Amino acid sequence: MSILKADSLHFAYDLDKGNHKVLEDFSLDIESGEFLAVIGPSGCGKSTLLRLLSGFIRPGSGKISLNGSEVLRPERAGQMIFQDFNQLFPWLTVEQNILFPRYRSFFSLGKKAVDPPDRMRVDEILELTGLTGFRKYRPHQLSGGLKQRTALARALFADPQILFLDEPFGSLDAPSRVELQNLLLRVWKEKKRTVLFVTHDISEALFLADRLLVFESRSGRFKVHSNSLSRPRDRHSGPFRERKLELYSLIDPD
Amino acid sequence: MKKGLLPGLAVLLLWQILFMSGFFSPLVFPSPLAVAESLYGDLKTGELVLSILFSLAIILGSFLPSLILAFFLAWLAFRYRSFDPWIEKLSALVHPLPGIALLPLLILWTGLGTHIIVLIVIHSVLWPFYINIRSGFRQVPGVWLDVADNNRLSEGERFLSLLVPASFPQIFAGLKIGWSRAWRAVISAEMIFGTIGSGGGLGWFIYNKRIFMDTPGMYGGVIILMLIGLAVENLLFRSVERRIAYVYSQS
Repeated sequence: MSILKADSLHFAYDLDKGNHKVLEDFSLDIESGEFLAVIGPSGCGKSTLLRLLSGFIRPGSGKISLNGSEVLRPERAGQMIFQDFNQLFPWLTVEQNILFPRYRSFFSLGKKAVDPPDRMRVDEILELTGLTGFRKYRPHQLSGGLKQRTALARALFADPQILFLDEPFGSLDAPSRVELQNLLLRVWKEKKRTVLFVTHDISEALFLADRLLVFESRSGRFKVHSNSLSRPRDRHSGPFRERKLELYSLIDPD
Repeated sequence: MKKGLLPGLAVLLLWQILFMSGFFSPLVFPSPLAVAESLYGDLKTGELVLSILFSLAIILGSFLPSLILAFFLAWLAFRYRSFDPWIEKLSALVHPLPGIALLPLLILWTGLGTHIIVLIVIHSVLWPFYINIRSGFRQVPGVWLDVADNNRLSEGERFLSLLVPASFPQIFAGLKIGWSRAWRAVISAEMIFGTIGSGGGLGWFIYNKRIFMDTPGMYGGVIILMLIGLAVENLLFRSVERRIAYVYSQS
């Protein structure tokens, strides 16, 4: 069953030198529950595509629909997680940041205002994301990895059907990146949500996704490849490395 | 406060030495003891306390409408960008104007009364408030606005739960500037206006002492002004500032 559908999207940026075409006649069907990664060289329009599909920007023409209804602006059902560590609110604790999607009123963030079912949900999400011990911390006291965990937890608390991730682990050090990738897979399996993941890291995409949308250079041409590697995946196995090299040559034909 | 004690004592000592040198007439340069005595007397009659309360009441009474108006203007400029250059021009024109320069016009328009002092103080704090709140709103990172959009915040929620807390450091800086501006404005307005007005703030207190050639009293009034400024800076502003710098350090 398809959850997110893009129908012949066109998008161009207006620049001084005329307009720069990013997408031309782009169509895509995303299946409910699938993990789709978008890869390509920087400047190819990956992030633009994600912002289009999530409703943050509008296409020049074409239609995007989530569960059959057209996306005209960002939806709560499609939660975006950004690369920027600064996406948390510094004046709120980890727990309050996570509660924000539903308890946004500045005055109702006191403990009593949270419904018991939501309190249970927060506890469960904190547990799942490994943040239970950090609930009272403020963002400035957290490492980059913990900040991105909190952003993931906040998105989960909004109870989305689809998660849009824009290079969320791009600024992390290697060990935290692997940790967060494993966490994301755990969340995906447990919560059975659809995930759309933008990255420029081919091995990350190959490790995580069911399908890979590969932008081949900056022309806006792309191809969708299925990822047949069986889970759990081993980054050091022969087939994994072979697929990685293949994808490299697709993105950078030279 | 403890660190300030030694320089404070040194100044007092220097003052006493200067006084004892007999270089200045006691009529223009009284001894510290005479000033202290006069302050004690004014405190006992309640005159000084009433003057302080009067000036403070005017400042606080001006802060509230100024804050509301400044928030509204900044929100308007932020939400509807086409208003921004207009309000900017207005603030650039009016902000440098000393409030006292408006005194005759204000009297002409609104008549005599304590409200004149309030209006002058409002003029002196409204623009620093506005300028700081506006720059605070403008510096809110785009990713925070995206999170707000993603969760479909209403206009009110976006204002109260995002814009205001996000720009708290700048809002607070505006309050701090406004506080010192307000003191200057209220004291000078009271001095010029106090003789015909109903009120007797600290400015009027000092001015009154001059009329009766009570030099220690004049010194006392100025010292009280300095002490209030020092106390507010140390007890209120500094601790809040430290807390802000701590919490907002990452953004």
